Amino acid sequence: MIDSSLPREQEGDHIEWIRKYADNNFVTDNAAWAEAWFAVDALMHQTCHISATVRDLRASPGTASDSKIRLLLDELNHAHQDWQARKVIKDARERESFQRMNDIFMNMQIRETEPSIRAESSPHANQASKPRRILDYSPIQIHDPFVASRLNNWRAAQLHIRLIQDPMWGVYDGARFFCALDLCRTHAALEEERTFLGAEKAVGLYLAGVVFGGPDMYEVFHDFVVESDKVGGVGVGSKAVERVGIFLSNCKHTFPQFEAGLEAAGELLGGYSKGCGRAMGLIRPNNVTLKKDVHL
Amino acid sequence: MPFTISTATPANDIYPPPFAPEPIQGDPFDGIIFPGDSNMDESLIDTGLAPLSNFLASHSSHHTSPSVNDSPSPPKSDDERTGAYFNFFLTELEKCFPYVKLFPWTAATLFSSSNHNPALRQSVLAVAALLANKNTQGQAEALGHLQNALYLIRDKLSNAGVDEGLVISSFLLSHFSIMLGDHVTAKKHLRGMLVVLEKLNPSRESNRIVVPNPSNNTELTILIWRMAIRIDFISSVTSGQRPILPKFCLHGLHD
Repeated sequence: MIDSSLPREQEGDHIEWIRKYADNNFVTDNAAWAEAWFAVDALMHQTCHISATVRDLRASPGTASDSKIRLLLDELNHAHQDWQARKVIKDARERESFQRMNDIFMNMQIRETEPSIRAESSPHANQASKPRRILDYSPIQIHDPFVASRLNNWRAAQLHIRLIQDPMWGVYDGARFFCALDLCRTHAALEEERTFLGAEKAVGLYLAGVVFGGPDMYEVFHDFVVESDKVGGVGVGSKAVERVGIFLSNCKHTFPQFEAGLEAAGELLGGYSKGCGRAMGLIRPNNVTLKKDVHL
Repeated sequence: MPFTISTATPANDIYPPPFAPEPIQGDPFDGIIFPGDSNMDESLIDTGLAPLSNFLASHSSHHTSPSVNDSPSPPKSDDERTGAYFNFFLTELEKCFPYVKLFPWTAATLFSSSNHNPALRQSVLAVAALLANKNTQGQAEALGHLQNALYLIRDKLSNAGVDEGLVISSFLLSHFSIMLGDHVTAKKHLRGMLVVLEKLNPSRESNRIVVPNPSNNTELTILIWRMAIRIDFISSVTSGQRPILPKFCLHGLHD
């Protein structure tokens, strides 16, 4: 078997390269973030390699194959867990938690003040009153879109690993489900980072769509009419996702057993192109009555 | 389907067979030039920007807001138009490509590299035109640049051999394809990029796939390789097939 991983003797060169060429003049953490971003992307790439290997191994079942699969998945899971142990990630998450706590505290204070003061001091006073969210799940407030996007990269990798581990859809797996949900909630809350990196985001959303289980568990809701003026500020994402819709329509071979999930994801993204992030609300569980004011 | 540009056949033909067995005698890219390719409109190559003949006239009236904040203002001549799109691409690079925010020299380096490399310049323009205009004429312009780029890449492969400009051009064409949702062609361009890289970085070990090394390749090529890895995993998830590029893991990269 060809060893296609980076030769260990080259690792030092690459780390040195990152530290030399990342711009640390204005943001001192840039090199650390570059390392983290490269690493999470490399993890996703490695997951794709292992996905193909596992598929081959499962084609010839047996104890040896099972052991090898277990070994590969352990390796992936460790790499995935290790990523969030990076100092730059831990610091960023701590900052985010602190800011969220601060928001909660501020909101509690504001509720006790006069309505006029409330309007002036609310951090979202000039924005739409409702933060973006998916279905009835509570919205989240993103303070650093860059960090949130990287965490979504990490969640996408987690979903992929879990799907390799347990290649079933439509089954309830708490951790997997909540990871998919967190990815969608984050995506709904993100605005600034809705850039042309749409295909990458589509991969995460697609994997989330698969985890949600497709139309048997989550129907696609088509009847929303989204006012175009409400999506003007996020036109970048809207345009990118138009392309992503086509991209997803070309997804014919991934997880053949998940074809319906793919259709759901494609529909999701198709709807998304009309109304940007709020179309995430087009997916709903069968047993939930979706109100028209509950979209993103 | 708002986007209908097909890039499949040119990419199919332009690169040598993937992972062709070594060693290859003489010019490894001999025999891959297809002057009679039915998908290549020679008139486009001769005139450079032929598909854009009506672009300016309709640009201002049909132009919808581009996907990024500011599109290039409608220039008057082909040169101005090309320059405007090129500048547009460079200024918007951060929004269109990953990592650029952390490596802000990318735009300037790409600009200086493309000054001396017509194939790379055409590749940049193809992506820029696609980014800036979603209307039919914008797509036609993008296709024109794409065809120019493919022609120039072929020419370079047959006459001048490989260089890092070809690596970057291949990546850009792959990016172009993924923007159109064409992951099949995107993979072909990635495969081509890998072949070129292997020529640039021959491995001493027969069982080791070569990846770019900072000691052998420019900083732009290293960064482009990282970007290509993303295209590769997107294509892999989409197709359900093994990625084209080798694994690239830094085992000891933790803080």
